[in-house]
Amino acid sequence: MWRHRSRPRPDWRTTVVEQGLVFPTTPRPDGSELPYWNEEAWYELTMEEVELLEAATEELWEMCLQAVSHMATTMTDQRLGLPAGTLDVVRRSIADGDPALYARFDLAYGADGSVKMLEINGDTPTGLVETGVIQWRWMEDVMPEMDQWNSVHDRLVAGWRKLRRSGHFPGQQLHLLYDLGEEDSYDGGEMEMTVGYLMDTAVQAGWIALAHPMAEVGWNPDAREYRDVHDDPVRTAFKLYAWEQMLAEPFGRFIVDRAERIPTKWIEPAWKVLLSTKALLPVLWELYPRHRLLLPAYFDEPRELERWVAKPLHGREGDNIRIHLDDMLEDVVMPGDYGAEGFVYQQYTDLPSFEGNRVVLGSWIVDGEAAGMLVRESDGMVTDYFSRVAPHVISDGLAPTEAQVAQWLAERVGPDAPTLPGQGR
Amino acid sequence: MTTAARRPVRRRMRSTSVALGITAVMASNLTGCSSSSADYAAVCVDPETQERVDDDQCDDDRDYNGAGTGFFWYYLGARALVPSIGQTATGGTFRGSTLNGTVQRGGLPTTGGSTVRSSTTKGGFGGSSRGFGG
Repeated sequence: MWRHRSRPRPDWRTTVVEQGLVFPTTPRPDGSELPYWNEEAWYELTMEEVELLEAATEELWEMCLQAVSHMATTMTDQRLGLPAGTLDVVRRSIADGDPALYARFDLAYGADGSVKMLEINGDTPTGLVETGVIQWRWMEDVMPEMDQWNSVHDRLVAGWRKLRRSGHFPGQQLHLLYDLGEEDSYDGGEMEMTVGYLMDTAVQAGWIALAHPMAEVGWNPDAREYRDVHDDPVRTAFKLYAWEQMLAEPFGRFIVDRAERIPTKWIEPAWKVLLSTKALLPVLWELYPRHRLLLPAYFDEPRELERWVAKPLHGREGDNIRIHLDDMLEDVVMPGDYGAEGFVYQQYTDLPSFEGNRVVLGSWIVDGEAAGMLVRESDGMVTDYFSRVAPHVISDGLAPTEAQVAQWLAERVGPDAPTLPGQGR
Repeated sequence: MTTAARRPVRRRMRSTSVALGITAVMASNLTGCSSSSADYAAVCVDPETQERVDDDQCDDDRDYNGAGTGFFWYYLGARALVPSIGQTATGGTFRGSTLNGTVQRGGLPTTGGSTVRSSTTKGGFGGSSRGFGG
């Protein structure tokens, strides 16, 4: 993998905003702004590297499904820092065979060729617009003869179609609900655009879709059901809204307490809460000790680790992370509101640095299969809110025929698709 | 087990096309009958049988005064259950002119079931906004 400097398209900012990236820059607290979409650089990968990352992503996904099953049967809400009753909801979701749509791994891809899982966001991943649309269109504009590890869009449409035809959801109506955020926590449109893009892909797959903020969801005690902004029942809902938060809120208790007459079907399903907590990291290390794709991780204390990162169980965007490198140096501590729910300790790993840009790869799983990646760059050690995204291309990938593309989309990379143990019983 | 033969041509990794832009029109596809938000809402009723009929049978602002034939608006309170068409309407009044509060004539679900005024409440989600993403 190499980083190349590149001259941005003259009208890049207007272009990416029109394409859906309404947050091309990140505002700083002092009012200045940092680039968020960064096309002053692009990353080059070989097909061999991509195939390595792709296989690693699928292997990690299978391990994560095993971990979900293990956590659901052996752990407690308290240990996981989850609202009371969450694991009961999770176990029902697993037994009901609730299907999932997508997830995103954060990977460190070392200069030595090693791939390490930093974490996974399995419940509320963002970065889809940047991955599926913006970097794809950049490549079409700037180097259309090249290839990109990025079938995210095609696979989302196919994934939605599969969900619609699965028989698991009543009718064709889909609500897409998101956390709007208020004042300081409003994110400049990231939630709306992520949901808007997902809505586009869902509609292309035949769903009839309506999106609105989660706060507009109502509860009707007579019908014992969730209602949308028009007071119509919510039967099938995608939510860009974290399960651990939902279940802690007053309306979430209706799910825990089985108050619904006909339970709303949620995407992502409740079992995804276990792929949203950092508790997954020590669980994976326990299930797969010394696995080449994992970093050592423990609950509550760093144990033998000398250089470690403390991560709050439900933290996001790098908030409240503490990095300890040397007893003589002060720890790096990120601000934030998380941490009361507990911490896990993961071995620190140096991120590869390209001209001072420290890189984390976002690797997507769509419908259980590796689907593409996004490069995120940071100046500091923590990939946080102020990180940038940059496009990538596969330099030795030659364009095949349309028929070959269709065939490759249809066939699996690995052997059989992994399934979640215990599902569908 | 054998492994898959090396592919003769490199796989193409990118999407075939990224077509977008039909988002905005979709909201209007989700409509449907919902309960009223008025304090009182009227169904159309035959006063001799108290049976609910189609709204368009009632086209008259005149209240039923205990005499006369035809169909008249029958006002149900907020918490009353809406009868379906063909069912007997009870617990309301024909005297719409005496009501205080917001009044809606017609437009209630023909299949009945729900209460006149929706009892849906909001605010149970989204109370502690944090900006989920990552």
